[in-house]
Amino acid sequence: MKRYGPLAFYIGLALLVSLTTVLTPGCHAPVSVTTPQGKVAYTADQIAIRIGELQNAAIQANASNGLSTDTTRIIVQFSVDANRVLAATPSGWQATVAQLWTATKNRLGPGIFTNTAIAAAVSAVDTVLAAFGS
Amino acid sequence: MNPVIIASLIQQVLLPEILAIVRAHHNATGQLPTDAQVIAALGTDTSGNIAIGTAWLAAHPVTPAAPATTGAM
Repeated sequence: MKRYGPLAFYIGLALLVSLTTVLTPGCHAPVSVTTPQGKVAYTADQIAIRIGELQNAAIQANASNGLSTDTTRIIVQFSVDANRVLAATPSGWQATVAQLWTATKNRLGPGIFTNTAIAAAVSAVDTVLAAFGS
Repeated sequence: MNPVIIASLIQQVLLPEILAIVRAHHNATGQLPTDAQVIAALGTDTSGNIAIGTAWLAAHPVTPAAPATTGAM
């Protein structure tokens, strides 16, 4: 079994802590955000940020020949579609974005997880949708 | 683990995630964000993502499949 070095362990730990930090108490908007519109926008923005991270990771991986153009196109198209939904309906995006995400993952297949950065970004989108998408 | 993969993870996932956490709870002046700032951030982030994605898609159009050969010479 392959053993990972301490640096990889700490990176994984930091990612876990950062995701946990933002998603446990962070499921709620900061106390300074008081209006319903603000809270809705905060939640939608958290989704947009993670989808943007996934899109950027895919584009960078494609530029370094770490991800095929066809696969990158699937991710980028999802990002564009999902961001349009988030911008247009910040209070009612859940079902549409969840459907888009499921269809996208089905098109990507398990091979996508061979790229570590993409796998981490996919997990971040999964986590944030699980936290905010219901 | 390959150092390139570690660097890629830090650059593409960990740093953006930490920045997102910080930005979600503090605005540029270190204060908690207001409703207006959060609403504006949603508009900025979604339009930015759409612009980047649209530009990339335009630069990488789907290549039409080659026409099937009929076998006729």
